Amino acid sequence: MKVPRAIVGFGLLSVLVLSLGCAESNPIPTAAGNEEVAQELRDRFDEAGARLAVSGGGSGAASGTRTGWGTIKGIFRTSGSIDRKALTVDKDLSVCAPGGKQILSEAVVTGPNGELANVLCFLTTKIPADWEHPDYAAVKEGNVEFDQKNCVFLTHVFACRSTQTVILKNSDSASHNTNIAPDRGASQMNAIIPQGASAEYLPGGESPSPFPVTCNIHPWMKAYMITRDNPYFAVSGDDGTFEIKNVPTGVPLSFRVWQETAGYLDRVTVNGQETNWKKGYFDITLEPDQVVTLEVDVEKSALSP
Amino acid sequence: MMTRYWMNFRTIANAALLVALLGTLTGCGKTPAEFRSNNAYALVLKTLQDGSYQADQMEDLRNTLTALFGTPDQPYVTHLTSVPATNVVDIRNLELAAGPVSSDESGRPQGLYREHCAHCHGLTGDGAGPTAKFLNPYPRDYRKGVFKFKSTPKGAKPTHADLKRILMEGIPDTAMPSFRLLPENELDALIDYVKYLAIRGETERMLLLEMTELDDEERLVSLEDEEKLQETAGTVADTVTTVLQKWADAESQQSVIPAHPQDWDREESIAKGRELFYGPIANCVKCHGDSAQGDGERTDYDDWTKDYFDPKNEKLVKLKDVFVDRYAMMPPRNIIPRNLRSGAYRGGRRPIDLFRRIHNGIDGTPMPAASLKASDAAPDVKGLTTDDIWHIVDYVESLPYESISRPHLPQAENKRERM
Repeated sequence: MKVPRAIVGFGLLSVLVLSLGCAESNPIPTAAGNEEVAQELRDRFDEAGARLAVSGGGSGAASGTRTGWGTIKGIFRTSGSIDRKALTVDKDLSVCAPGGKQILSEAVVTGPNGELANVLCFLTTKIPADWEHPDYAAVKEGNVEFDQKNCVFLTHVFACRSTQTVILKNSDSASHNTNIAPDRGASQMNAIIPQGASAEYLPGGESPSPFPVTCNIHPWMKAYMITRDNPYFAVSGDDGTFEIKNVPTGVPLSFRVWQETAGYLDRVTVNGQETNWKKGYFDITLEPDQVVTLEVDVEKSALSP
Repeated sequence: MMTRYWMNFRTIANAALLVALLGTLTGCGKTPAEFRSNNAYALVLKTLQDGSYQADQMEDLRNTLTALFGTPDQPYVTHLTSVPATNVVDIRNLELAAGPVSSDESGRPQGLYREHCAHCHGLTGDGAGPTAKFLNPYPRDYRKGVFKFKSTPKGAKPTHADLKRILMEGIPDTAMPSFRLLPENELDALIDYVKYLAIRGETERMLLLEMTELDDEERLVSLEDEEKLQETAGTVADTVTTVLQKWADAESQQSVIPAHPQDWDREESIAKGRELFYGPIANCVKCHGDSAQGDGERTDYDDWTKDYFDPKNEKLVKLKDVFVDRYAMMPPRNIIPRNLRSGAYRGGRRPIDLFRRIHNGIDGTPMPAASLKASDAAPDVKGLTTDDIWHIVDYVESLPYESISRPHLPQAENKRERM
């Protein structure tokens, strides 16, 4: 009955030492990769790879027959205006803060009645060429301007087509560097843009989500950019409104909605109805000549970091 | 009583020693070497999304990566790609570099990466080997697929020769030594293995990004569900192809650099370079400072740090302590612009190395590419010609020789007299 304390102690300590010594220190549990599963996966992946070599691969493009063109428009709002924090401006003051002018954060920009600016809405469905309205052919290529003045990027959320050329302008009398840093799809760039000069940015591809554009000389400067293969995107203006014209109808489309602080907008109220746009996606199929109006209300809590 | 307790404590202490010894000897049971998951990036991505990956999703990712790239002991390169991996790395090189350190009867070594690199750069190539936290700068984390010192433009991968140059020369003013004494085939093996770790790491990051699209109850991959498996295979194929394509492209992306003009008066060129250095077009002074000692902008971070610590992002600022305390990651350090008076050039001391740093910028850092203009452009067109860049190179090369760059030697009166 009597177990010597030393043995109890030994046992306890063994457990302690062993558990300490061998504990997994990663807070996210990571089951040791299962060898058999990995082996089977390898075989299946390599089989798929062999088929890929034969077929040359294919993308999951949309299906269906387009019937006409329609419009999606609307407004993004929250309950009342939100104060914007003044950013720390400590360089080139005569250019960046003339007369002591403050630069306010653009993470959330609201109008007097909570109209929400800089909300991005873009089509994620991969579409065939004939789903693109002829009017958009004129802006498929060519230049679009992205400017900076008083050490602020003039377009805070900038959307363009991946086939366009972005003219990075510097309308300041100070030098900037424009550091474009997509994590996928589009190309990276970081170049000095002298005062009054400009540089060209060729996106070279589609970015699936918005990415930051910064200036390292003036660390408070930040904007977001997205480059899309299709022309169906819009960014809400200062009055919170947006409009996407000539959207293909009769075919199911998927759009995605993003705001800098909230990220992809999911819990929203659309035309008075509480809605969950899972991970920011909403699906829609338009009738020919239909104009869909979305009045989207966003909770204030979603707009605080 | 006291004695009894004391005896017990001694027994317990001995037992503890014994157990500890036993534990050390057996190494808690031999487990095969495993790559570490990029949990920090996973946490960042999901924090920005106000969620977290599920344990089984992370396990799916580990299995997927093992399927694609094998293990530290048994490297593999997948066939699930439109760009054959063999265009980029030689699997025999990977086998030479991978695995535990050993050699065969003929003296052919094995496990070169673990012998020469892993103690700083880590088994996974995450820049977090056991020595890493004692070094400044920290060793490079390859998993982002970004390399600083190379001959290709921003966003492009380094060429094989670029990486070889780093191994041959080392990186002055850092802990990175030269591996000049290794035979050529071993250097090639190490370079391929570093590429392999970078490809694996970047694929992991890209898949983590793809996984932000998954619902919590959704798996990344399923062997039971054929449709799901093919969908995943499609995503993985696109990802691996994208990563490999960039490496395959690099060899043909070298920037063409015109030779330094022969007939220049050096003093004159240095004076022109100085003017450009402080002028509004090149504007080197903004970050490298009035004194060129790197004191112009010292609050920024490099891109590896900004991945998990962005002082401008309130959600990420809150994670800083989690990373340092719970993930045992290295505390973030500011990226300091180079002190151009020290005479140590990390990316190489040849004039062409300095030219490339100015011409292309430095990937992963705030250093931008110069704003260029054609040599025959009108004088009022803003930008630098390649001649202008050579002037700046000449000026920068002269800086360590200016009298104020010389170290302060002890004054005569302060020297201790020897008795």
